[in-house]
Amino acid sequence: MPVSKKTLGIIPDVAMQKESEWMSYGAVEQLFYDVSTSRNRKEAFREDAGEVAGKYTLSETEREMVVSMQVENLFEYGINPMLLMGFWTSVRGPQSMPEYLKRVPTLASRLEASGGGKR
Amino acid sequence: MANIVGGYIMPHDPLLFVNPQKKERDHLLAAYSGIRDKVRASGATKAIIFGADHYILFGPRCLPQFLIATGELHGPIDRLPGVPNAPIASDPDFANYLVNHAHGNGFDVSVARDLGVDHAIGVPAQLALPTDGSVQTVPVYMASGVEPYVRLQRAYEFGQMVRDAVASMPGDERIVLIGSGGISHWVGTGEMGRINPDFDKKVLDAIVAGDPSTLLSMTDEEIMRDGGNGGMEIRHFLAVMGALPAGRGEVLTYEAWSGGVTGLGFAEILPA
Repeated sequence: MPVSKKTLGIIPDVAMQKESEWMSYGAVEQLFYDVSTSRNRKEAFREDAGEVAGKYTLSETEREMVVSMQVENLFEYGINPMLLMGFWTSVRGPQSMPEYLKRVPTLASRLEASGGGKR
Repeated sequence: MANIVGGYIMPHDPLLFVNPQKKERDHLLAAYSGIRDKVRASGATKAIIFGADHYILFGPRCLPQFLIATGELHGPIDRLPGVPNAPIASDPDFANYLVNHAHGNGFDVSVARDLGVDHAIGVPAQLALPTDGSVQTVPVYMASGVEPYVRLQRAYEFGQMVRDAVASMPGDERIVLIGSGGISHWVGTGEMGRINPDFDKKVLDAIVAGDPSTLLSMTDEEIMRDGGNGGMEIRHFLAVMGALPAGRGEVLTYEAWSGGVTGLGFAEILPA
């Protein structure tokens, strides 16, 4: 069975959310993609993360996760790990990778949550 | 008649080039130049490289399942020491021929008319092909890094389609295929740095045997569990195997290199 957000348990337990609030998952990834690939957007995020986040249609929970760079929750939310890492290092620099790796959950935990990691 | 003269798999781990821990790597870099020598000796004129975008080229607003670049090429656009972001020889006519064949045979591929490739294509193109432009490259991007992933079976069938395209192509082009990808690796997850030699061996054994069934029977969950999210790149190996059915392989170099995050496998697949 192909892996999907649902099979990977990405329907989040990060917070008690109304389903409609999670419709902007794509906007979160777009923000991360823009910050990772655009020097201007990266600098803007470093200067004022809240203002940049305001340019995207995010729920309040998403906005909080993004602005405060809650990689634990963002990973659980189902953000692509490569994109999440790229976003983190774009903003914090490659020297911050040890902190990222200390904080980010394992793929195994995501699979376990979906029941897909069992033999 | 055009024909496929060989296939290769090779990694594109950026850490091999950045080498932050200053680990010994000459023998691994030599694996690329060794393949370059083989490609040159084969008389190849074209290369088709299968790779994954790493959320560098294609954003959330457009995520192609299959994409063939039909125009001018350069890269890799992500800066890697020792791998210049330089022009890559291309052949728009050949690329468009493949697109047309794909569209007529069950694959509605997307196209890029001008592309700066990332390291998935750029590393093999710059390091494993002759530098004189004598082998022109067609990049094929598959959704192996970002969901929804190309199904394993479709990746294999894509290779079969490429084989048919070459077989029906006029002229005497000699084509090499490259499946670009690490074997086991976890990227951006808490396991990052883990390498699973058992998974790597399973994949390489299948390539050596010329038997795709082991790989095709895996589920995405199994790959994620044992090979990591980066392990999804075995799709590119399956495409090469699909184009070279029953072609037996040889492992040229393998190492779970401690300086990187990827099981680094270099292998050759010869036509049956």
